[in-house]
Amino acid sequence: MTADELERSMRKYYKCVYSMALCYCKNPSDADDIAQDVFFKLFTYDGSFESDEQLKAWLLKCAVNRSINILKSSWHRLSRPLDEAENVSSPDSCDDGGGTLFRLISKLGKNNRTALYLYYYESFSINEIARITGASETAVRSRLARGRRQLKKLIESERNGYYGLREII
Amino acid sequence: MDYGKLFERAFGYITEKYPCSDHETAFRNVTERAGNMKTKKIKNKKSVVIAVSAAAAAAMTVSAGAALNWDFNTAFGELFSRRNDGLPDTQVARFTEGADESAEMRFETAKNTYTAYGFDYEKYGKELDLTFDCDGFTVDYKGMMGEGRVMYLLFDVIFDEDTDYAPKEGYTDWEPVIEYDTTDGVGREMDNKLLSVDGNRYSYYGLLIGAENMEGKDLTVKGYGLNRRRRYNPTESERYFENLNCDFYAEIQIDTENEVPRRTIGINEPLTAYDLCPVGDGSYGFKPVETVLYDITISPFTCSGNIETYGRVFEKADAYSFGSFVFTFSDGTALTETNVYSEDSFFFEFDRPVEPDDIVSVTIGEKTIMLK
Repeated sequence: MTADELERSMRKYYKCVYSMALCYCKNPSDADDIAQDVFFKLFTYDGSFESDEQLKAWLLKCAVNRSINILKSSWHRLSRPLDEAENVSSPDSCDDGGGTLFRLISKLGKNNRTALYLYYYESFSINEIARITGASETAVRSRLARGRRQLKKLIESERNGYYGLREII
Repeated sequence: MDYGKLFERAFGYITEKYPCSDHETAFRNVTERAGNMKTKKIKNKKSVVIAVSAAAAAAMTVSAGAALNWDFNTAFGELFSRRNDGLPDTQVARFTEGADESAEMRFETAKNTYTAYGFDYEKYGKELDLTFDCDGFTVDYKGMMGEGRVMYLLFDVIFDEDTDYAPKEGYTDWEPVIEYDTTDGVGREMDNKLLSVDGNRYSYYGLLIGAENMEGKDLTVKGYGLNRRRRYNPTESERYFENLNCDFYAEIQIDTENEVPRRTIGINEPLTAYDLCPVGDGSYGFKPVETVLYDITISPFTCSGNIETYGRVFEKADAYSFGSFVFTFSDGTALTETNVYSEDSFFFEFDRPVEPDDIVSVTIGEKTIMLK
């Protein structure tokens, strides 16, 4: 890949890869590192992509893999408590509803959260999500169903006491 | 409920509040890093196809084995025996519930009566016969075996006679630095263990646990050299690290002609887990919580499953503990996984390989679930 092609890809997909990583690891600094790792991987990758959709799926797959590595690393486990202030799922007094929703989404397990994000936010099919996350299609369907059920419960438990949320849902 | 709008609102807000780096900065970082890497030439790069399928693997293994004069089944059998120190004793985690809704975990010694004796490792791998000549030592990737999420690599490091390789007081053993990567993922560090030392020949095994199923993928195993480090803080005149640098890269295609035998069993039963949480005066204890075990998948080398955790948030690497998983086989022998921690799904590698169809039940904590 040439530097021009990389720059074009980064303009188009950097934010998308960053959001995926943020969804998985909930930490902006980690998400930025992960996004740069992913595009470094792209720059040094020998293969080619048949379409933009294929490239995007590949980038998000790398982002999921890299997020798993980061969360499992001993360095991350040791340093994480020091970075609590940076955790984006903490309550926010200036929240207009979006932050509360993000906090509730963050309460879902990583696998369910990732499946919902890819399905509803990135509009991938179940087959594509299975390839991105390395899970079977059955597992993806089950994660979507479970994630929806959990999220609905979480939202219902908050909606009565929170005006911003009532407005959105 | 419109989940699309909901996610749009949540991520729109959060990426505005915590924006990513600007494109120019991110682009500069990536290209500078790539520029540094391109100055390093990879000389040692070799390729091989490994089949985890039964018939093809066996045929290839016989011919390669005859040439290399070592026995694949014996070597991998020793790998599992030696990494468990050959001891049949294991520990079973038990929880005792107290009056204040807390529980304590204690361990009881038990026997791993299941031995994996006669397991056919050749079904799941192949001899590699990839030798890399480095300055001061040679690396010999001997064989690889495994399935899907987990692969095992046997390799030797043979030091040249004039290399200062002998064990040194205060230092660790030589530790190979190896990463692995599938072509559509990002590299992970391989977990290496020294199995034996015979003069200048150090025998290791590497454990590769994939973030995804590696079957059908091209795996790159990237060796960067050997390190040993001091076990304690060195004085100013002492060195902390000793390195022997060399690139030894192998591209291994993991072929799958036949399916690896896997069993997925739907369970859908309540299961008690133990949540590590604060108790009283700043100390921590376990608190019993109810979950649902949806399913279990057993393959020859791994066990995984899915759990309903009712929206529990897992921060700071905390998790539920389910205590031990004790697998009972049709001949009455048992294999224990000492303590399983999980969020909403669990995954662990067996201490020794199994035939999934031979397992008749699993006991998780105090609950026994029949699998046949």
